[in-house]
Amino acid sequence: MGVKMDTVLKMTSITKQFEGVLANNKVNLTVGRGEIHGLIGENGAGKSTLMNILYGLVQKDSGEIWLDGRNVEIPDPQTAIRYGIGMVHQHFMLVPGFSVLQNIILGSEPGRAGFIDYGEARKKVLEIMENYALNLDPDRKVMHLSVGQMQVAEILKLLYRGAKIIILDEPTAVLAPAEIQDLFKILKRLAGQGCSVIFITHKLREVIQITTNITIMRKGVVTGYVKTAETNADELSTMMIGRKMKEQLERITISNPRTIFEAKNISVCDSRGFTAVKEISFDVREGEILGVAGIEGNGQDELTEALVGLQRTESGSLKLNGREINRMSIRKRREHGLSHIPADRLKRGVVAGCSIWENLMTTQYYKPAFSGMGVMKLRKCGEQARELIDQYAIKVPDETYAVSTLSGGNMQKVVIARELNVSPHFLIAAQPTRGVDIGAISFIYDRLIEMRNSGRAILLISSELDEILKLSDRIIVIYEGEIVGEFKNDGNLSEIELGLYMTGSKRREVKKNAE
Amino acid sequence: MRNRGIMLRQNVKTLFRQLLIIAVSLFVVSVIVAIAGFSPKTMLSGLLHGVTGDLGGAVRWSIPLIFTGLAASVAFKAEVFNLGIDGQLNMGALAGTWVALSLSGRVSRGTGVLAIIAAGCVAGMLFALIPTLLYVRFKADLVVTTLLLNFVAELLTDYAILGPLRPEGMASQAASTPKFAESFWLNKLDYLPGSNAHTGLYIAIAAAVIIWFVLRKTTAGYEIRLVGANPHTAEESGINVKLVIIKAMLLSGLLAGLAGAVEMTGVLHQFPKRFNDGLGFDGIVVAVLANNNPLGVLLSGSFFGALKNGAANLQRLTNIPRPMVEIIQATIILAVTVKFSFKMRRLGRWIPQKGAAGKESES
Repeated sequence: MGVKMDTVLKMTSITKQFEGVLANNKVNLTVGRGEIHGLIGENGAGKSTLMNILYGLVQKDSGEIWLDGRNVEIPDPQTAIRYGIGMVHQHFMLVPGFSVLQNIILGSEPGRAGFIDYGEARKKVLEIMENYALNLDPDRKVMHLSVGQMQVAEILKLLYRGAKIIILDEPTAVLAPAEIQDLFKILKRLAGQGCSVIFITHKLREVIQITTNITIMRKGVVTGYVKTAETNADELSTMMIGRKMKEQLERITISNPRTIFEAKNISVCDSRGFTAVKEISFDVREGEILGVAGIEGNGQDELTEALVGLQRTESGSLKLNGREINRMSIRKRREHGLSHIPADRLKRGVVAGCSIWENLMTTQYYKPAFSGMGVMKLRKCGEQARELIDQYAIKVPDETYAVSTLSGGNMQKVVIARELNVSPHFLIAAQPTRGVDIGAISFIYDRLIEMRNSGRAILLISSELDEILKLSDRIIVIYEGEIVGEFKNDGNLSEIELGLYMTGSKRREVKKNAE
Repeated sequence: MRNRGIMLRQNVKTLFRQLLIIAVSLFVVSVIVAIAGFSPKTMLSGLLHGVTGDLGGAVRWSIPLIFTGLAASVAFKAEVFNLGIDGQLNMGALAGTWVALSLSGRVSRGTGVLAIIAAGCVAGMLFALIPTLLYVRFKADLVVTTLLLNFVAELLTDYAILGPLRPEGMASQAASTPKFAESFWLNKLDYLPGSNAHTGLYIAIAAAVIIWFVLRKTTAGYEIRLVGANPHTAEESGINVKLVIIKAMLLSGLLAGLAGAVEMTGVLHQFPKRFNDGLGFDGIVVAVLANNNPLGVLLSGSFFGALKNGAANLQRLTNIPRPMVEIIQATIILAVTVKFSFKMRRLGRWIPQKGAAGKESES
């Protein structure tokens, strides 16, 4: 960087305490004009708290915020917007039935006496689009936009309100690889025009690719502030989690694997009655992890629900160990060796209000080991629960604590303990590491690979391409309810290539599973 | 045994909180009474008299309230809203009366009483089955169906009194069924002479203990807890959620019907037209105050029984008019429901932070 950047934002010694927990402990953050600044850390490291303080959603206990050399207080988001601070949340705040233009001006409509001056609004929006080379049809309804375009609409909204500092909270989580590259181009242009971007993420590769400087947080404190050009992923991850990442477990290859699970011509309708999964066929063999790649909402949920037995299939057959399970109840399927880690942990994985032992027993309680004549053997249940807590390193004082008191990672371990303890033949793992910290992620990966090595079959459904590439032996790509590509994961697959299949711009005729 | 210690401490804590709520509400009521120009002291001593001066009356009213409180607790545990306890109670009472009238003089005392109670249970259950099936099969909203079926039950009992169960020789203006044979009446409690307190108290206590056992210790209770707390996860785990809901509703209806039958054989010995002035809805409040804990229902049911009796006495013994008495009852009920939302808010405030705390201890 030849040019010396002047500081736009300086947050000094920010401290915030929630009910005895220091979410932010004397945190400093400095962002220069036209800089893309990375803010990284695990879940719960305090990134969101810091940004919520900057955006006026949360009030700091102590510390100072300086904007352009002025000490300011930000009591609410309106003030933040007035100071030129804008935030794109992980979940977009757009009205689906409104056009892009209507969404952009929502809340700051130009006009008089209750009438909106659309001409004026359009002129201004088009000007901004031209300035920043952002292309989006202002009259398109938001519900017809792709996720990437919605993000652009969000950014336009901020620019329209005169944002000079743009906070992006995990902006790539919902994007396909190609879309991520587009977003990065946009961010570079914004920075070129003098906007500052704060880029929150936990993906190291992205932060290295796009940012100028990086602030690293762990457990509420800043553990590092580095120039991106002078660091690497190893160093960053050490600062982020406080230790080096573990190597992955070795994989064992099974010769002449049997087919454990076979889906043939499966069609499934979604809740509105539209066909969400169209004639899908695949099989999973012993000692194999089959990854299902795809952008969320392309039929993965419906497929999973049909396999588990939560949803009826319209057609097709499901065979587990050669036995047709398509008409079986959920319990019957589980008894035949099917297990499931649900994507939506809080909704389908745990019973948050119940204790840990109750959560660990939900699939087992009726078996003779844990109940007889309709009466629970509570002591046996407790013993089993304590054993699992030990074995799966669930951090909790004892088994009577409510699951709602656990962190995301520990909650997921409860689910995994329950689902793996029955040594299933076939495991469906949907988004197994979503919202889970890095430590727990590597724990979960190890368990999955262990299971694979012991000759079980795993269907891994994930929208994280990294995860799919890291774990799978074979990958199928699902797009609009169809399998559009099948690949052997031999290390030569590129993310960009897979991304093209995921967005439907490329498809390969997949051989139908012949008789 | 650490668990037991924790549970005991939690229960004691809940109990104290509940007592605090009651104390606060009594204070608020005193203020209202004072503003209305009556003496809070008269009011409080009048209410107290409902317990100390007339323990029998308090017990008499506690019995049905314990049953309906249990009925509400079971349904709420499964997170199904049975607002039809009144209707189920009426049907149970009607069935009990009908059985009593038709068996009169034909069977022994024991058989008769058992038959009356069994008929009440079955009738309550069957009447609860209607909305349950509508819900399970057609997703008809339970709140609406159970509530509306209360009116159906009431009209059915009206019809029975005017029609099939009309006292002989009575014109169409009958206000009650005939009284059934004295041999089918439950005994009065000798240690509470001069009151309507009857041995139904033991049935109520037994029911509370049994329901506690069912919810705490059996697989059925475990299923009800899981389904109540998160039906999605329960379903995912292979539990037949619909069946659990049916079980919970039937058990709830059974208890409601039992309340009606016991009311007949214990106190009224006939079915007076519209005798039930909302015992079922009071049961909901009893359950809420007890946090749906069956043993807690024994306490909160007794409390509301005493309150109900005290309020009745208040009218008789003091110059405080009836509307005022109703305001007193309503205030206490309001205070109990305030606890409800108070709990919700506390939950909302705590869960994220506790999660964060767990995270800190990780890694």
